[in-house]
Amino acid sequence: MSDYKEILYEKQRGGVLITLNRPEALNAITRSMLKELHQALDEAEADPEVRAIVLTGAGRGFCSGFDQRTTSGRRRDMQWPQGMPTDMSTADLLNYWRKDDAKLLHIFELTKPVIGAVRGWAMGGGCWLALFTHITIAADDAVFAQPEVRHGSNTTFMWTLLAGFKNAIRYGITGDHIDAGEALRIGLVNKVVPADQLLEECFSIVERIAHVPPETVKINLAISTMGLQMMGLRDALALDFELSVPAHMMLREEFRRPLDEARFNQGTKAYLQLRDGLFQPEPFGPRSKKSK
Amino acid sequence: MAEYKEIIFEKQRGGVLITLNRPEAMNAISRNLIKELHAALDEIEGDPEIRAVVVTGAGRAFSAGMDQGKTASGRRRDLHWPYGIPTGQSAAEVINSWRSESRNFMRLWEFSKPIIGAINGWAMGAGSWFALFTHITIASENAVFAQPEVRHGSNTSFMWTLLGGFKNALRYGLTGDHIDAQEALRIGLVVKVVPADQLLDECFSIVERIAHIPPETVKINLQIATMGLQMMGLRDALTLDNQLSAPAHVMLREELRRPLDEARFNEGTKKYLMLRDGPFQPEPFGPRSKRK
Amino acid sequence: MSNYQTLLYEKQRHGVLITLNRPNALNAMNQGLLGELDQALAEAETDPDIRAVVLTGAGGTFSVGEDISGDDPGTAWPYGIPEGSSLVHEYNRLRDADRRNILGRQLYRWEYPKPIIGAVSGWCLGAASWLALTCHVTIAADDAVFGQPQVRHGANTDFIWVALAGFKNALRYSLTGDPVDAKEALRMGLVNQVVPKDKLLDECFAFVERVAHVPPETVKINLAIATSGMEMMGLRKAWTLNAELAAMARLTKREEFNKHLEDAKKKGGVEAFLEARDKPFQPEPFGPKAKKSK
Repeated sequence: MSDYKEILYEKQRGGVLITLNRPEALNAITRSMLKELHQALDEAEADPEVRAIVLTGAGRGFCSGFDQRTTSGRRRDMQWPQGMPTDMSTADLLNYWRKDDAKLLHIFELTKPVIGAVRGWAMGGGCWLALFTHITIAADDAVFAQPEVRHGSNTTFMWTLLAGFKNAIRYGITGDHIDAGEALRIGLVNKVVPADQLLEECFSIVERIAHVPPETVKINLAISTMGLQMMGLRDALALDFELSVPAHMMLREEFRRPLDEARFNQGTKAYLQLRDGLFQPEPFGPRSKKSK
Repeated sequence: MAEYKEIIFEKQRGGVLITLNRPEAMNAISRNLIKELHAALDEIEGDPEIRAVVVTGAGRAFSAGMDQGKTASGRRRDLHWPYGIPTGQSAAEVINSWRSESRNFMRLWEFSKPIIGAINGWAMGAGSWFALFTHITIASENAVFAQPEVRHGSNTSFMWTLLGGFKNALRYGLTGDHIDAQEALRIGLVVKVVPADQLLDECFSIVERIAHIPPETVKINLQIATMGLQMMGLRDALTLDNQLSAPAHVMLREELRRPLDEARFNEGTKKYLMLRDGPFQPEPFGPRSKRK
Repeated sequence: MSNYQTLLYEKQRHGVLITLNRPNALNAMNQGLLGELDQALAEAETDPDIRAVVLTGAGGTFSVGEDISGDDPGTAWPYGIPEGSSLVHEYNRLRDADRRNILGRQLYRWEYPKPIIGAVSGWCLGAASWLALTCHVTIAADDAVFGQPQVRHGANTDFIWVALAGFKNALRYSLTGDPVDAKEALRMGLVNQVVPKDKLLDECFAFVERVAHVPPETVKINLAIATSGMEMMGLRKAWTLNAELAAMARLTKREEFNKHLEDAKKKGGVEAFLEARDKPFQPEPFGPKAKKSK
């Protein structure tokens, strides 16, 4: 078994608990964490003792998304009015964004069930992880959102597949926060439980799965996931991937420059305040008016 | 008019009530029942007085699924281990026997008149598929939907995914867990839940409404939905579904299957069911759950 | 900015409120209104001040659907086509109308680069339900009623009901033309949210203001991820088939079903026609014409 640095891999109860383990960074996804996650999924897939995978986050949150510093390369040296990094051509930039693939389809196409155990913040890429899992259980404090769409980034078709286009658009074009109750209502999660019951709920499902022959589970998983591919899901996700390119490249100076400057001169907190300030209060969750 | 032995055919209120009528076998679907259903559908097609079809079950069940004893699912006594193939057969023959490319459910789906499922009780295995393939489905408060046969080497149906979304479909399709009428409503398998004594009246009041509308119009509007979904790839998804039934049924592990077969043949169905479903008690919903 | 006869076009709060404005006809949609709607959307598309479109109806109701007032040519029975006309002519006319006027417009709005938000109160029937449901986001007032009663007199439903509510819910209501109220519409997934009537426009424009904080190109792309994504899953094919079935549906006239409705209309106008058509269906399962339970 490999030595993982940014995730935990703990076999138990007929399955494995994979924990995104950068709690000091709210489990923000780095390139190396992503690599370890995919390795861990491969390891789990090949291990006959592992009948299902539970994916969760360390600490009180699931995952705050792709780590701004390492994955999406928020370069300091954007040239305006071009809106391009100083020493890159359009060709370079297109190539860069077209290979930035988190390979989330690997989760969806895994031959063993992956169960997302989501408590606290599931933001951006973290929200996508939760969506791509086969089954998702949320704690009552879970929050799902894609705030990065507010500053030049794309949503994912998985919201549409799960929640229908109206709900997906309502939340996907503004990055608004939704809570566990709304996530349940619109179909992003299977069930909501108290936070202290989250892992127990997930592993009791793992134990039920473990009573079923593995080949049967594998086939029945495929009936759903491949069935959706037959209905065109793969094509929809292929389009998704290509649309992430213009989403990241089409940057307006008046929107982007102040955000970049806030981040580099004052730090992440100032940047987030500037980005999200205009959207307060959120419609749901801890930053809404509804919270006590 | 044909003589029916395993179904009851009662024209009424602008439609016909077809009752699956093997209550002693919980309306398990036998070869003969399938034959009679097709004959009934032929009759309905040719009868302009019948504007829609309501299907229900006699007694406590809608249908317990494919008849284990009498049909070609052929729980053969003589599975030869370690091969997991019936004695004297080749793998080729066994696989081929499962590739029957059954058009039974598709006939319901593509039928020229609306079929309304009146789910009065247990809808298990292929019984649940029958319910799902109906165009409109109303459940009584006692209805239970499940696919427990996935626990011992059988496939789910993509229809659960089409209706419930992949997360709900997988939550219940990988484990065969029971769900009740309310959960079925929540996830989209049925459109309404009514008290048991109102079930048939609810369905026939819909039939009466349909009967006020020209038959060609009803047929076209039915096909806007059903053929529209075929256009979206449902046909391909169901083709895949069909083909996955073969591996689901032939990929049998001795350590899991042999005890079940022995229980069934030496001690009977009750013992077999206890062995199969015991590890899964209590169910998450329904009469075998902890609720109420 | 053009002068619209059948619409109001009011820029506000980073968006535009387009109001279907034929309140005396309960905003029934005729070709004039639909043509002006295309123009208004084209105008909004190129106006950088406008970040989203809110679509609503004047007089507290969205729209009762296609305008069926006006004299119809007499029908030759048993043929079911206008006297003196031919099947080829009628069928061709209807096929073109369904593909160009309905599907063409639907695809234009579906692929529109800015979010279109339906603000639905009161009646939202027939083709108006398609208009409201193909909006990218739809908010309903608590008195909203959605339905497709036109299926009762020989016309088609639209696949958008299936795309949103699943085939079982869609068929329950589209085979019978039965209306649903706001609550049932929410349950089925036809709308995002239900709000008190007096809060409807404010809720929609609060959303527009949020959208306005996001760069326009980003919004455009994220809209496409949902809408073009669904086209990748086959929605366009489903709609193409829909258009063919729609033309067939409109040609489907039977003397024993339709003649008495046409006679009612000749004698007593649209009101009499509607009464004759909907009488067998009373009470409705939901809405103002339902039996009040308990």
